[in-house]
Amino acid sequence: MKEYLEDINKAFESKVRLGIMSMLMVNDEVDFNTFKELLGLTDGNLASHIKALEGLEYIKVKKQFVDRKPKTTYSRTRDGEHAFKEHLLALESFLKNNL
Amino acid sequence: MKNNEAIETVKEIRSMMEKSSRFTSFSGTSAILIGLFALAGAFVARNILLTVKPIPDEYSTPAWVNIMPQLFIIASLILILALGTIFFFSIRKSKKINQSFFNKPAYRTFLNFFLPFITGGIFCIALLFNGNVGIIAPAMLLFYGLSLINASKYTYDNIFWLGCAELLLGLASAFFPGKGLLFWSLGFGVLHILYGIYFYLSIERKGRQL
Repeated sequence: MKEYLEDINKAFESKVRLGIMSMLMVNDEVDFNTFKELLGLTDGNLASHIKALEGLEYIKVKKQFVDRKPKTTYSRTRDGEHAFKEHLLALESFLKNNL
Repeated sequence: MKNNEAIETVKEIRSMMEKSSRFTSFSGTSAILIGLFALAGAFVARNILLTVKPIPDEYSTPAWVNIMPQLFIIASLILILALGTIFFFSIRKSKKINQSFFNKPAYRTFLNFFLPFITGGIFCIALLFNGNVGIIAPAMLLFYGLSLINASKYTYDNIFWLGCAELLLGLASAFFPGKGLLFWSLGFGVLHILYGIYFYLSIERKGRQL
């Protein structure tokens, strides 16, 4: 059983980081407020989780101005996509062997 | 990691993927308003129709040809008002939660809605030109129902049921010639108002997502 656990990525243990990554897998770009709305978090809390994923280079940040208001959007990186898929595979095999 | 924990995780992933890829900037108020516009339009249309002596299956008499443009203009006005209302309220809602209105989910929703919708619209214009006026109301209801069902995959699930209700009315209407306006008012007026109230009470006020 232990070997399946090894592949389960620690970065995705948090529900928030898992949620952020899930959204970025199906959308090329997601903005900060969408994350906030769908995850129901405060700015600070969300920002720290985003920082963590950014630090791992799983997500990319794009800052721009729309109607003179700052707008931050995020997208997945190749590493992030790969890590998430590995995580899913690990979950899958874990479930297969335990059901 | 326990088994149910892993299952929870998978559920969470699924739910986030779904929620983030759907169009949610929709407001129940706009559905209620659209229903009211439709009822008002149907009322005006009824008064115009009362000036013409009905002859079953006969829509090419001079009296009919006379009122056709008026009915067409009323229908177009309702359509423009309805689309304007939908866009106005959706843009307002997305501004309120600081999302960009025209994102991918919105694009997918509108594309899937307008494809059958515009097809139906052009089809109804053809029916009008050919004098098949009797089946315009059922055709409108049917194409509208199909448009809603098609779009429901990319936005709130419950729009599927509104679409089914429109389909039922459209089919029923096809069996009752001469009662088109009545079914039209039920489908575009009453159903929208009921759906808008339901949407407002069960989703908007509770702040539910999908």
